[in-house]
Amino acid sequence: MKKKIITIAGTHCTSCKALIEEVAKENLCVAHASVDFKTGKTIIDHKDCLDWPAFVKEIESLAEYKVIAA
Amino acid sequence: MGDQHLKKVKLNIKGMHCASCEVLIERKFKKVAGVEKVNVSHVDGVATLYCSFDPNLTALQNTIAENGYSIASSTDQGIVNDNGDHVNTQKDYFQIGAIFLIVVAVYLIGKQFNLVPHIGITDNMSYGFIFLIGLVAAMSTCIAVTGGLLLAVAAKYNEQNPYQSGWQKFKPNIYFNIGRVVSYTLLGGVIGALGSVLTLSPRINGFVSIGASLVMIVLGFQLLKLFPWMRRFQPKMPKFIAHKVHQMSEGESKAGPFILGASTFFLPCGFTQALQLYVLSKGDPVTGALTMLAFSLGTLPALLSLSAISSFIKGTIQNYFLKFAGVVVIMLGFFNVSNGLNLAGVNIAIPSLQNNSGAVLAATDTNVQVIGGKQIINMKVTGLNYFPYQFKVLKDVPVEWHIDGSKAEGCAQVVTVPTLGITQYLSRQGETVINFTPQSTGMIPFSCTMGMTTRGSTFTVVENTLGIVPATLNNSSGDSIAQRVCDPNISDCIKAQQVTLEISRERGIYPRSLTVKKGTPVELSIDDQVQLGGCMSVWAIPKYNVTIPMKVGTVKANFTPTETGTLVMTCSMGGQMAQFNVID
Repeated sequence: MKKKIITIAGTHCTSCKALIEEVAKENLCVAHASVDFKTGKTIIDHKDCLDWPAFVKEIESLAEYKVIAA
Repeated sequence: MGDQHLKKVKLNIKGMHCASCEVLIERKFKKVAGVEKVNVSHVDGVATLYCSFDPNLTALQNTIAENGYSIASSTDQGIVNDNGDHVNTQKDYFQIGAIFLIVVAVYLIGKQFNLVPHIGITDNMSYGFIFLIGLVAAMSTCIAVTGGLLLAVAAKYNEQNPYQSGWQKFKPNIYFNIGRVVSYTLLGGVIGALGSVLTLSPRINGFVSIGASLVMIVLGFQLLKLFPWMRRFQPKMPKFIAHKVHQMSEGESKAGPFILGASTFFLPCGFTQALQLYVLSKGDPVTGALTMLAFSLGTLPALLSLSAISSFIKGTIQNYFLKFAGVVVIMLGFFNVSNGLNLAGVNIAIPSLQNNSGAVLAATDTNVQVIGGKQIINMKVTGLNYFPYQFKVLKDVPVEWHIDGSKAEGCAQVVTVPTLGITQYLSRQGETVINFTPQSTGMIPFSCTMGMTTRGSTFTVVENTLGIVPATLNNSSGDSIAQRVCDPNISDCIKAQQVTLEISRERGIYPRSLTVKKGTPVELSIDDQVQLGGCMSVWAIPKYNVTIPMKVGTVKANFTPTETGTLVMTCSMGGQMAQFNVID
């Protein structure tokens, strides 16, 4: 299991937090995701199988979010 | 598979505020069995589902509940059109009509039997009496503003949170009332401490009242679902503020209702304003805080009762209550608009519920008599009502307006005609006569200085087609005002006593007490450094029927004290501003 800390620009409310965590939860390679919508700081616990570029693309397609690697 | 083969289901969703909400709900609903496609609009508050079979409503509800969203209850759903707007059924319209008739009937019966109470603000009131004023205020004039706002907010909250328990729904109402009590106490103390003026001018007050009333009317129509398109005109906070509020209100909302309740201190309610001025005249922070605390506590029983009713009722009764609340809020809104227009000096004929409305035309004929080229008008003031209150007069023909103010109460003790620049204290002992000559056709509205008297009170000026020859006047106006100035050409002229008084933010009304001699004319000069509003916009020396319209600058008044003792100078509602000690 790996832990990755990223920043997602564009989060502004609890709905953003819930949405991103929901999407992460649906991904079988993500064990846990925690989003701080105020700072955009997001902690992802994931397995090796996670297709990172595809995951980033999926998050950015949800709304006007931009994933910035830590 | 095309959408045409799928069943279309529209659901009203409560709790959405942004595009992220839309995406989140769409994803959640798509996971429910039967749902093939979802479109959600947070602007319309609607989710459109395309389903292969009827989805389980409970499953839909449960899947979004964890994120704070809810589906409107079945009784609340009604029929939804293609735009996602509610459409009332014929039964709904019948119920709304019936409720409207019942409310109007109760109001008219109350008026007929004088069950709509009037009480006045006087000097040196006990806290117990102030509590009683609050009690009455919350059941009469202030309920129109604060009660209406609370009712609208409570009903709207209930509509948005149909699945919450009665206690959960009641909580925001408690925060609202706590906000009221806290702000009344603190700001009462502030007014007392400053000894200054926090009230708005009558005109601004009028526009504030109109704005608040329009919001109430829109809320009322939303509750009744009469004009669904009105939802688009619903004032919305800028997104960045909305997000802040959303963050604040995570879990249970406290700040919103609390702030809203606190802001009612600034809402235009006659009793509140009168007490603010009373506190101002006391010039003591502790007295100010305790006075406004007692008043706000007095308003609690009525307001909490409203809150309790709106929070604990459910189902069909809740449906009826929402309709009742909508009707009452709309009526109160129109009532306040009328008052606001009066205050702002605008007169638009709004249908009045006064019980003397049927006598207007007859009264116009019998109460305007032309004698010797003058139009003689007789009007009585009882409480806050004028009888009659509408007159038709001829242009360019002098008007002699006889007013019996012996039964006038509160601000009705002073009549003001803004367009003519007339403001006159009404004598308690006999008639007050005001002279003026209408110079142009149109409407001339009049009211008390706080706009609380009979709505729609006007002179309608028409062309003098009857060929009346106007009387020639030496003095066209204001001859009833005791403005006796010493004429030095008269040998026995007594030199006037010149006294001055200051109104400033630093010292308030200073001094509060002036000493003058009996039998010697007094020239009072008031150095007014602040814009006075509400009842303080007009002062009076009731004993000598002296009216003093206040304005920033030097204001002068003349009178001659004829008796020794204490002579009070009041605001237009009777609250003491200063006093003269008359000595031999």
